[in-house]
Amino acid sequence: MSVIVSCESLSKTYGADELLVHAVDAVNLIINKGDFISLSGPSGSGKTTLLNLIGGLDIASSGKITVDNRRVDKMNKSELADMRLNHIGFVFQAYNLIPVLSAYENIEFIMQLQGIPAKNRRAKADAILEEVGLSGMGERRPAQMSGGQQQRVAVARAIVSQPSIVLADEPTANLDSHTSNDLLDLMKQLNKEHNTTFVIATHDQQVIDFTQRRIHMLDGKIDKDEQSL
Amino acid sequence: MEKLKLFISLSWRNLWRNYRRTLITFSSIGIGVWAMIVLASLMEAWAMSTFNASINTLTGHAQIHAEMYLQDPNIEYRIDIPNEKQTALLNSDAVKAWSVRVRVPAVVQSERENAPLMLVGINPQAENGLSFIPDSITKGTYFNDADSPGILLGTKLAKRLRTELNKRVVILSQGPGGDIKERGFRVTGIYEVEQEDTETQYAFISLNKAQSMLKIDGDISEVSFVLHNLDELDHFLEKYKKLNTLSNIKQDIKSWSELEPFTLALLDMTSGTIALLTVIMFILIAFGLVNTLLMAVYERTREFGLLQALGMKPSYIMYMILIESTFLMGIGVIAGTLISLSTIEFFSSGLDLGALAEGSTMFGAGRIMYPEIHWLQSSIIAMFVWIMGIITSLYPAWRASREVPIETINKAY
Repeated sequence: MSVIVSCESLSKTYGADELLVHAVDAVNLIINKGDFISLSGPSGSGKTTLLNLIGGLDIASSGKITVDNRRVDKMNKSELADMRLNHIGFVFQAYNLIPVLSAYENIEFIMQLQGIPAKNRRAKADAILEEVGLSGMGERRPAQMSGGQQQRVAVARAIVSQPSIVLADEPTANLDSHTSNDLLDLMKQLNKEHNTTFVIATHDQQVIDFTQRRIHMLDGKIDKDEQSL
Repeated sequence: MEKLKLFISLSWRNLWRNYRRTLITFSSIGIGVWAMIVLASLMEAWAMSTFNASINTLTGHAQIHAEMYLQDPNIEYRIDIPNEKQTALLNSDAVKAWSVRVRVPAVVQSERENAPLMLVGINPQAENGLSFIPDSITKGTYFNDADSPGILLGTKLAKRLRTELNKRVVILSQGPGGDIKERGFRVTGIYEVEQEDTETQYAFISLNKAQSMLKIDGDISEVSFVLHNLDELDHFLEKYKKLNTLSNIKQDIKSWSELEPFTLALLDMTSGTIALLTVIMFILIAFGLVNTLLMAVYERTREFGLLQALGMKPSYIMYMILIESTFLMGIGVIAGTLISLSTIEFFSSGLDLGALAEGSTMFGAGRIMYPEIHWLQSSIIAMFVWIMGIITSLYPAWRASREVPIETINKAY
């Protein structure tokens, strides 16, 4: 199995002196290609911070992070942007679609940044929209879609560039249980069919139960890391 | 290219997210540009009116006198009529009209009053297209030829002298050697112009009558001329001076700018004022623009963070805001320019200053302004506002590009 993410003694602290907070505290973690992982823990346990550090959205205080054999902790802003564009997909709790773009254009946006020609983009976006069950809804703007539909577009946007890993932060938090199930099915299906690695930060037991590898965090450290049977 | 298309598309759509604010900004930019271009055109029209009035009064584009005449416009300082070579040059295609004149200080006496003035002896046909006098007679008649009897007085002067058409006045002036020459003239014409000073300053008699009254044979005080193209003036004057040097003739040859330094200063001041107004107006626009863009940036900080999280480089965010500003400025500038050109075109047949005319004529301008479309000037103003607007938006663009993804995305939670 190839290693996608490697964290060595990874720490992130906020504040100073007596007010110093260890959001992530000397975490060592290996994520392999094709993993379908949940990252759970109580609020403040550091799961979102760990996700942000892996995704290059936040800067580590110390330690080493490697994504696809690239040292994330050594990259500048521009290199981080390139890495996020080409190697990492994000799914956020609040969907975070670009409001002035249609579903199709939100997906196409990533490919445009990658410089993929228009004719290739269209075919790929159509295929992905169909895959996430939104064919025929490509022209709708985010405001014209339900939360579940918007999150499906966000998933489609996250996987369109065939990233090494998709980082999802509480993707089901704003969805009802039925829609959550559908979304999890979709992510699982993408994981199986494309061998895409997913790391899902969540509080939701339903999501945790759904994943193959379950990492539990407490006070910035990995408390448990177990495989489901 | 794909990225540029994306940025253009995103910028254009972002512009219309708050269409009310965008329309207000367009309007303020448009009104500012409109005001700048129209005001500049009116000031140019006013300056040109002053220039034309000055040239048209008697100055022409240039004048030739005896040396010392301009310092002391005395009959002692006179010149011969142009010789054959000078006449050939004055009759060349470059010259629109030229004439010789006798011009001396004099006193006019009516039955009841007297007044100092400048007596001008003219060749009536040659003044066509050169000075105002042939077209300004409102009562009586203009002279038929250079030997016509009579005198032409300005309306205000006639009123001051309490004289009228067909009445007699006496002109007294100093002849060569200091003798006082005097002759009676019947008022055969009354002229009227917008500038009150001109009406009280000049009285016209025919050239031959002036020469015979002053006993100066065929001598003259000045040659005045206008060219078809003012840009050729320096070159023409050089040729005339060279001709004089070759013939060993010493004359004082002066262009309108040397003869009318006040008019020249007014034209320079107009250009300076237009530039100053453009800058002031732009500063007002710039505040509005920066305010609008900063508001748009602050409202969308989370989005800029998201764009960076998705892989957009900070520099791309900057380009996007700059493109947005280019659209915002561009539409405002284009609309303002088009409306201002229509406004100028509407008033190009003449804008009557009415009640303001008195103040305007004080500076030598006419009562009616004829604003013209100055393509180069309008383009410079429009491009200046557009480019400076884009430069001004560098700060909001830079602010947007500094948004840290994690901080801004988390703001939503």
